[in-house]
Amino acid sequence: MRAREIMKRPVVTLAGEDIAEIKDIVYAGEAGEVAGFTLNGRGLFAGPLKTALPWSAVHGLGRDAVMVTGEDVLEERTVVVERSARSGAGGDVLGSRVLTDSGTYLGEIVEVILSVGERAEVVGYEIDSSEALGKDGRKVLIPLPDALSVSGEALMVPAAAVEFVTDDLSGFGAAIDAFRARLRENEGSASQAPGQTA
Amino acid sequence: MEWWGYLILVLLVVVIAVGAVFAVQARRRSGGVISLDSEKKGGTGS
Repeated sequence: MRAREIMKRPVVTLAGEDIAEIKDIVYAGEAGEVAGFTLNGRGLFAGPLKTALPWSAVHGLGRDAVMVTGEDVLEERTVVVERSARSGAGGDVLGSRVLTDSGTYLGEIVEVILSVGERAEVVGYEIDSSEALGKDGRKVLIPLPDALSVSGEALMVPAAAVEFVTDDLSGFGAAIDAFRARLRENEGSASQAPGQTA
Repeated sequence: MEWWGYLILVLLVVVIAVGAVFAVQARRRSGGVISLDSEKKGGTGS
């Protein structure tokens, strides 16, 4: 699921009360796990709310609305953020640059791909590809490892991610699994190597 | 200046003010994907 599909969705209680609208999706930088959502008030002139919706309080994430049991599940925004953040700092990743760990610039993030189930997790980025990817500047999907590297304004991905870039969302799940399996293989062979030489 | 000159001036100011209010409001309400522990500025969208 694309992150933008969730933004601006109304937050509705099971009693049918329309209490807010999704503003930002907040996730833990390294684990990639979605912590919750910041909210806007309803109506054109309503600004951002001081409360946020933790992921654990989401009753259902439907096509047209995010369902919650009641307004009482909303928490202070700072509480939701501090529960997942180590440093307390945060930044919007849309528009950030993506670099491989070998120093190749891959492009700029235009969308974040989420896997939604019992928990929601950031599993990939959609990027405006650079020349290095050889995709004529098209938008492509790039898978992410289990643990993300977040540093400054650039987001780092393993160089092997380039081999698993796809053009559409339908085959992206398989690309993520294959990419993560490759990383585990590499880690396994790297941990065996010192033993062989000793 | 003729009276209609002042009228046009006042209408222009009103249109610019309303446009500015809408622009600020749209900016405040725009969403993002916030990565915690990232140092990039942008905060949590307050």
